[in-house]
Amino acid sequence: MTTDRQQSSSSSDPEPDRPETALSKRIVQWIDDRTGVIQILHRILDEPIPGGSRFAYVFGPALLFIFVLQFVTGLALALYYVPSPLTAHISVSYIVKEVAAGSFLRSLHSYGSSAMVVVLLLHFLQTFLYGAYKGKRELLWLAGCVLLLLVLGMAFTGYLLPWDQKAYFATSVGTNVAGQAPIVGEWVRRLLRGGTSMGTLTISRFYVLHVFVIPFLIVLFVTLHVSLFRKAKPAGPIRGSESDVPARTELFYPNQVLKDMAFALVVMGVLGMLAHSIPVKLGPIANPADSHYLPRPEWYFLPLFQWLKYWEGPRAVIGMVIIPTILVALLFLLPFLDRGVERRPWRRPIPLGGVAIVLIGLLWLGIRSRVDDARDPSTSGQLAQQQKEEDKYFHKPFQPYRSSPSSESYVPARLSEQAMKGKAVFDSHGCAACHGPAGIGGVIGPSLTNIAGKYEPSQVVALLKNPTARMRAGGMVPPRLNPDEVVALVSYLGSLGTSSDPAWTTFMTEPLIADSADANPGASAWPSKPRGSLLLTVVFERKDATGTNPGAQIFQSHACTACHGEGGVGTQRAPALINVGNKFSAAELKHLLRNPTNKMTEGGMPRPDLSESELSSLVSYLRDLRPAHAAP
Amino acid sequence: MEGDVKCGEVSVPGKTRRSFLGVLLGCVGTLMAAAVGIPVVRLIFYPLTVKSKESDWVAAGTLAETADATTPLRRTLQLELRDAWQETAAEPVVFLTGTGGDIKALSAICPHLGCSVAWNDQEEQFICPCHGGRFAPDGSHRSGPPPRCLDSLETRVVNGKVMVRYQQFRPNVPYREVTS
Repeated sequence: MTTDRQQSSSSSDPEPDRPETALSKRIVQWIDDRTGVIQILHRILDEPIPGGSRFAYVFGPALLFIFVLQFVTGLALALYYVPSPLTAHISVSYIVKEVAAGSFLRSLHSYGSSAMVVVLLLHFLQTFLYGAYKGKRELLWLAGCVLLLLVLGMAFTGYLLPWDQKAYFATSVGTNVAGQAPIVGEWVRRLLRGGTSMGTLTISRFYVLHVFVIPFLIVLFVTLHVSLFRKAKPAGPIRGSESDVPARTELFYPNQVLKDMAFALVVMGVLGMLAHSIPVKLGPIANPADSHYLPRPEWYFLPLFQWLKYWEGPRAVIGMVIIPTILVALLFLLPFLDRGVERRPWRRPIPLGGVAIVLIGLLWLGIRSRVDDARDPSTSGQLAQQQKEEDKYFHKPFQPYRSSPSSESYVPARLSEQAMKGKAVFDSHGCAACHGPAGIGGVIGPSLTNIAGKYEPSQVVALLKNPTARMRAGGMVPPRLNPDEVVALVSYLGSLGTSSDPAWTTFMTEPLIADSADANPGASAWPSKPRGSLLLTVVFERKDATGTNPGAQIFQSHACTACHGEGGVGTQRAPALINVGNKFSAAELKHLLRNPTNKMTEGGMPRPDLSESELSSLVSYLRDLRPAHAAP
Repeated sequence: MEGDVKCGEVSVPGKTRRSFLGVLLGCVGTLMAAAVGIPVVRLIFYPLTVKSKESDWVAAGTLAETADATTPLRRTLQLELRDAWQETAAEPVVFLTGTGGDIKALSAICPHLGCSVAWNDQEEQFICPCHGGRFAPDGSHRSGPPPRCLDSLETRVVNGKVMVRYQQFRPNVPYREVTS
């Protein structure tokens, strides 16, 4: 009997095979002669495992398997995903709701990231308990620690990409945590986000990290990790005598390969079943203005999330940065600290105790976080509400995004006549100064895109009349509008983004105004319309608190107060206009209003749409502005 | 293990067992590859399964205009198009030729390889800017590589308006086959 190596590399087989087998053998032979692939295979498969194959050794190969799985599913998702705030969420929605097998593959990718963390933990535990970092294996261990951080980095960067509520807020918190680092913190935070706030550049950066940079580094470090492992040779079991271990030594193939394969099959089976029966949800699109949203990270970041709750004030840096850094440093330095030859964990009480304390602590924090959420009724209520909204969005049929390449990029393709009027109202009342052109969101005001997905028309009307305290604090003023203008504006707002809600369809298609105008032109006609009953309680009036000064009215109705404050006293967003008359002549003011400087435009100053006489009134009002206490 | 032999101090299972295990591993591997591979292939091939919706009738011009025209009228249609996850406006070009009952709408897409043909006033024919295909004012093929005439679209006249149903056809085949 020959060994496999000799047998397969021998050119002449003693038994003549059937022709087709002979052909396949000849092909293999032909390739091998040119590549030496069989020898390479033997080098890989015939590695001796001291003490024989074990299930304890399956976690490393399983990690490699999950990485390949993540690579393949990620590649598939990238065929449809488009990274930008305008497109990220809708393209994921498309993958999940329309594309064949899209939901399954996304779920597989998402559950795969959890599996990666679980198996990584098991791999760590096995290596740690077996003391397998000892005996000139420090670099092998360090490469593994880097891989641990890279995997967590993958999880963190991938989480943002769907750009739903959960993704947005969890990443918002995550990047702020990074910002706590001493000295470089703010710098790191802005670098990660690509600016001070989360937006376009944040997605681009996270996408590049998630899809190019970190995977490349993982491949690099996996190669390093595996080749260092092959150089160091498997550490073998912790029990057994000097003579016993070598005697039970097996080759990697077939028994260890079988065990690895069996575990991979279990992992694949569990992930496949989960992905098939409990698809990963996609929530509504990120809404930065939603101050009620309670972000909760993925389970493996929960302990860290909970940990941060206990640190406040100037001590926060200890809990948020110093302690985690020390723990990570200890992890990296483990083979340098635990240097004895003793590998049995019960003879290494200090490392064992340390790791046990940290793991139990993490577990406790994680459970604690869940318990805290469940105990607080308002929190659990809000979380349940979020869950409901997520389910609702997830089960809504897919609504394509409307855009038109020929018109301005963000404006929906078709605006009804009503909505066109609303657009005029939106533009002339300076809404765009804060909410951005076509309501895409600006530095000051949140995006209004897809507001129809979040509120009923009646709610939008109500919010316009009575902004919430938070909206007011942000500078939102109730616009002075007549009912026609309100309906037009709300129609327009409803057309920003897409909604299949019947309430909006009715609101936007009913010729509500035409009818009521016929019946009784004016404010009172509108609420009496039965269809508009939901609007009954809301009547907008031109209430001229500022008296009859036409300039003051313009100042109010064009929402100048939103940034410059009531009576032009100024806010943190825009300078005071009091005494502006001493600085500029009427002609200069007019010119500035017609042609705002770059500095003004950057601050959000719009070019108000005013007639010449309106402009004159406004300028004379502005020149007369005096501090309130100085007024007679 | 009965078939085992000792090779130094390393035990090697017998040849039959090794090849049996090889087959087993191959099967399990194939199974797992299929569990991921089949969904991935379905996802990749998904665009082939999407049926493009029948396009609506859109107005391309009026009868009066075509009666006055001496050369083919170039018209841009306004179509709504579903492009993966978004709805966009497409603006394909058609040429209206002929008058009255035998009015024709010709797609400006060259049946050779899909460039946009243009009307040339001096030569009084359509010329494709890419590979020089030439077509008569009624769309029939005169010279060059295109294998068929310019594709004429379904038209009908409603209240003096010429309505067109826009379609696209498979390029570079001698017959017309609607692709969308």
